Amino acid sequence: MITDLTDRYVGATLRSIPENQRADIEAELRASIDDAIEARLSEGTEAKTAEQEVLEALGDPDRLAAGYSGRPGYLIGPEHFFAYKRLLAVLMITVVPIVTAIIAVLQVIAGDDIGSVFAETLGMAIALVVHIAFWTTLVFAVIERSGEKVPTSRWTLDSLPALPRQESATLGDTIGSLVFLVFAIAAIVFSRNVSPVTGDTGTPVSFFDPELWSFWFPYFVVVLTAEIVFEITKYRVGSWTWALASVNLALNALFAIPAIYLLTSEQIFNPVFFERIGWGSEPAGDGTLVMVAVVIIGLIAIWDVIDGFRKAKK
Amino acid sequence: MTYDEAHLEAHLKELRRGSVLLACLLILRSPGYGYGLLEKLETAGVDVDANTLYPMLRRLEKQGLLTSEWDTDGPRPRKYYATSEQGMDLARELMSSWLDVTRTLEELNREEP
Repeated sequence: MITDLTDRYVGATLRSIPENQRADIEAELRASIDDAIEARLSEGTEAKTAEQEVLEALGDPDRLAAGYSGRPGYLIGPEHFFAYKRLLAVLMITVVPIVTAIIAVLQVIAGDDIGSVFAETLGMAIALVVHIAFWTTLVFAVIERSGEKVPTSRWTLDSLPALPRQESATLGDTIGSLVFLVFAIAAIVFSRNVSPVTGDTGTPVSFFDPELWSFWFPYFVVVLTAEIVFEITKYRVGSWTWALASVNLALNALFAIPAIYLLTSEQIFNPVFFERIGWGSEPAGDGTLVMVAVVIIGLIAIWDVIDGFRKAKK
Repeated sequence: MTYDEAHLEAHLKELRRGSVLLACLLILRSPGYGYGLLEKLETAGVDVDANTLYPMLRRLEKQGLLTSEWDTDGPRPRKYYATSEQGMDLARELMSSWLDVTRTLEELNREEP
């Protein structure tokens, strides 16, 4: 040989081939390359050109090595791709919002200011997305290379989404509910540090009783987050089912019963807030505000539960 | 290469893909080595790249469709492959299937649209 190109080519090919196959593949590959060069020389091609042409025709040595070792030239093949995509989507729309919401709540409880809560929660959400994407992809890439037939969530007829029907879970309803729920969570979370009313020292006076932060507000944030997951699940299922209607009943009870209890036992509002705006120390005065709130919460919950079962029956 | 030519190329490649294995099994009824087989396939009009063919030969050997033997007597040592009994059985199966497809396509072609 005039140049070391063939040696370098063979070396690059063998690099990723299992040790015990190397000698045999090397001998065969060298013989094949020499044969091809010889054929070109006998056609009158110059030696250096012949070698270059032969190696160029063989192409990327990594691709050749993948052929020899039977490794796939892709990260996730068609057999696993759709299972991969579905799992990734499910993780993204469940884990990310739930964990993010929990972290936000914990930070608010810890008394961080809104700016840093927002920044840290956003950073956490981004980190979560990156981690979930990375680890899911890694696991599937390993499965792809294990050579085993791993049954990854096989598609069955049961996984078909229901046809969108009239009066069932529509995208508009879902988005409306989600916006409301996120707004409710935000109202709870921000009420601690944001208020139009300030105390003597200039610190904001919360509309809600600060005592609630010891248990009830974290509880409500968890329930509302569960409702977000419920709304998304309902939309993905495509229509109301008995199971969904039952879960809806449970969620409504989990929200409305403690809310009504707290309202009637006068634990919701912050007396200081009402004093500050000049309503006197008895927040709801004659209790009208409490009654109105109880009736609204109760009616919405009952209507929502009945509506769920009514649509499930159709 | 124009768009149409590239498409034609892809279609032809797709159509002929299955024939490479059968052609190899048939040619290797008399033993042959890598580059020699590549030339024969080329002469026969079977279009296959060297970097596809060489790994494929080893795979077929692993599956028991080919047997191999090193010949160290010639100017350079060469690995000779030959179609095994099992390989011949497969070749017969594939051949009759290929002819079936040809017949079906001819019939479809004859039918008036």
